[in-house]
Amino acid sequence: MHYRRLYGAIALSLCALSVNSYARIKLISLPVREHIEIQLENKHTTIIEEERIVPLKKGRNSIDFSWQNTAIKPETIVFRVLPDTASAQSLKVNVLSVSYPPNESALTWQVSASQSGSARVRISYAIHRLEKQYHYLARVNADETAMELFQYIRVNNQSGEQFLNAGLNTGNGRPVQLSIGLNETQEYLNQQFSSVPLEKTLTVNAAAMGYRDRSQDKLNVLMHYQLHNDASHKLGKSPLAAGKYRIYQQDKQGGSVFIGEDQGQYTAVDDSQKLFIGKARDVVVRRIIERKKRKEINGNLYNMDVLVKYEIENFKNTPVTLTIEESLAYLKQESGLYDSQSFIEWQIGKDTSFKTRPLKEETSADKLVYQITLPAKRKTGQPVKVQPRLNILFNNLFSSSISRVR
Amino acid sequence: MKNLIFLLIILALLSPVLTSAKNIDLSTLPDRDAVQLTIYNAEDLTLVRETRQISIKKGRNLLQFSWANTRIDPTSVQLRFVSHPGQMVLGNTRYPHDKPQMLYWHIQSQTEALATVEISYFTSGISWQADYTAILNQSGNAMKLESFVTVTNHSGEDYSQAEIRLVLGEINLVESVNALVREADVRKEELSQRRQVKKMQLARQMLSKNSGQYYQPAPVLADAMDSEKAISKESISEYYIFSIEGRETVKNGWSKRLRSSQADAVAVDTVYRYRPREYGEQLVRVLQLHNNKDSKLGEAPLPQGTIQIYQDNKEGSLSYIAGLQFNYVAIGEKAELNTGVNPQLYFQLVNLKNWRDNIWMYYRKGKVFRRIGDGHLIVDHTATVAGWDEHRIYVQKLKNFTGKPVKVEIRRRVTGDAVIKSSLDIKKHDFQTFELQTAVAPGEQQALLYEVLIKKGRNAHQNQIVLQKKPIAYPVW
Repeated sequence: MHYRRLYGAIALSLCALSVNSYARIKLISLPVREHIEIQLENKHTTIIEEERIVPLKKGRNSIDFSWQNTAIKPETIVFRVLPDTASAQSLKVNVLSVSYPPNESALTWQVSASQSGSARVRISYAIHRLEKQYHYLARVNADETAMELFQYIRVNNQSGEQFLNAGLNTGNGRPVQLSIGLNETQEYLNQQFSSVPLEKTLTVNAAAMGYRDRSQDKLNVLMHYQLHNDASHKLGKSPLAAGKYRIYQQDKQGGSVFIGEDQGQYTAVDDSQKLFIGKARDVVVRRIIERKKRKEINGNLYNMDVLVKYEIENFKNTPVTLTIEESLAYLKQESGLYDSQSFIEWQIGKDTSFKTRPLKEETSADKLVYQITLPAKRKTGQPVKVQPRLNILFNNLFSSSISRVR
Repeated sequence: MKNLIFLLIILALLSPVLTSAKNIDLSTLPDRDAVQLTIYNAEDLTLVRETRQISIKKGRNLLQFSWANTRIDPTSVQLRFVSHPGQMVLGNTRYPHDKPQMLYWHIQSQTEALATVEISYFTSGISWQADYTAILNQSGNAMKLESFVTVTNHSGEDYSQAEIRLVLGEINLVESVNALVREADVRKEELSQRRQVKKMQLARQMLSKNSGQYYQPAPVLADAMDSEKAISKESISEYYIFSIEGRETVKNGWSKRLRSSQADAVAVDTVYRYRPREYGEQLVRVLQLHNNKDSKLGEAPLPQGTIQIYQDNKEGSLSYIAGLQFNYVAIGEKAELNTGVNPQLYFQLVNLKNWRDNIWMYYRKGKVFRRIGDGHLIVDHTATVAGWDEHRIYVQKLKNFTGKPVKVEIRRRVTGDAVIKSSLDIKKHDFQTFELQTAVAPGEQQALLYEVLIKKGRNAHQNQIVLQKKPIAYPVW
């Protein structure tokens, strides 16, 4: 099958053309691509850069460039004459004008050469439908403390043109030389990291993650891997692009089991991200509102005292760290406080029994975050039940139909 | 395509009345000797001025001018004698009832001569746009800026070897040329249309500067090394005229792009901005450059157009940054280019803590107000909250992973009677907008704290913000 299309043809008209005479009979030469690069750094726009050696005669020359059945953005075309070591000193080229014929995907550069000779030109342009995607494969060790991480790049070419021996630049990772045909997808390993330390966390959040069993007040317990993109975690060489992470874990037989996947976010060097892997079943968290008490201040002004009770059991043989997130807006709504205003005033009440303070960096006006360590289950097999309480005082509440009297 | 036809009909023996009725004509077709296009970018309007040489006999002469399948405004067509002024007089102009895109000029001449005439008219369908290519250097503190103008001809007529002048500015038109072309067949309206385009005539008079200079330059040898055509710029009234050196041919349906200017090292300043009203809820990277001599610019305004921004990454390769609309920039003015979010600069606005105080109750029975906490509270279940203050502590979190120091400008709008408290150097932008600036070193994290107090109900007396210097502590829960 011959897939080559009439695209990107750069044609040099050798007949003595004046600026405006587009003869129907032309003798043209077709300079081939000497070098081609695909710039995939930009998230939304792919740039093609191609170099060709164009023979020029002394005086005016017309160089035609056309792109049939391809998705070039014509407004992005940049034409540059590169300094060529062989003839740079003597051959000078000026670009006089660019003409765009009607109803054609083409243009013509009018250039003027100081003498006859060959010029190395670089043509850059943005092209649609030539895209890249990142995806990752992680192999986690048995005790979930470290992993091997592989970053792959998948290039999908629906642009209408094939690229032979093209240099790929993705902004990070190793340089790659690739030939990619029409409507073809190619994938290659871009980066690989070994023994990357992992942190596993378990999190509950009634508002955002919901209940696993509402009838038993059991919350979903979400499992995350915390990934730190820095040198101390054997990463940090370049930002980690957004992409899908597929995670496998070694089993005792030396094989691997797929344990989950997540769409990872862009992670700059020295930053970190959390990957949601799945739900944990061996840690059970029950959550109920144990108390709700209205305290009148005067008139329509009142406070509300709410007590949330957690019952937590760890059925694992190892201690685990659990993050408890409480949305104050959700709790306020659960408590029947339908204030039309988004304003939430609250404070932690004296009946709170968490032994540590909330996490400073994660806590805000809308979210309260605690972290507790759960002991491993007893030798008898019975878990240790932990029952922290969270006492929230919603203050200075009043109905929205306030008096407008001044 | 030659739709514009100029006929010289020599009627030495026949009267004008007979002429209009006869079916057999003898005509000569004088070519254009020169043509000048003055193209406006703000309106679909081009002033065409062409000169032709015609043989005029002594006595009465009749000239026919027609413009089939073009987009010429019939009310704008004018004839002027460049040579033999005073010896040749234009009498009446007649628009035949059965041929809408045609007119006859009746000329009385005192002499027989080869006369040079100038015909001018407005046409639509010819336009010009500016566009720019900017290549940032690797450190991002300077750019090579090339500006181009592209002339596009959809007028229905080929213009060969035309002198081209581009007008940058916004002129006032009572009616568009397109509308006048459409109404050309309606004879009754023609006279009123002529009156309405008087402003166009004034514009043409204004642009008549150097009007007689557009003659064919000396031919260029085909094998000589040509330089790029210079585009000269001059100001006139509130407008600018870009004149393309020499002559250009723009055929119907074609576009032609020429470089207008180039500056190799335009200084670029980068600032990151959070302005929800202008840029949405995100921190965007804004490139700033000045159209002045320090930036190797400043010769002329930079017209509105599109700009493609690249960055020189390494080995001469280009990374694509953004394609944007570029607004008009006057000489000396600053241009700003919003290139979008940089994922390596993290930005987060967090509401840390809220509370209410200064709460006033209204008692209907006594029609009195009492403030909670003042000790004069009347226990009354019918009392209602009438006024209060809302406090919100915010933190703007910044993490700089770019590897370079960055400047950040934050602007927020607060409506109502509000007080902004902070130890930061906060400034008032307008009555309900405050702004603060900070510099973030590579790898640095910053937490910019401030409190917004908004007076509500009867407590509110103004609708503006007040700044108050006060340290704000990070809340402890």
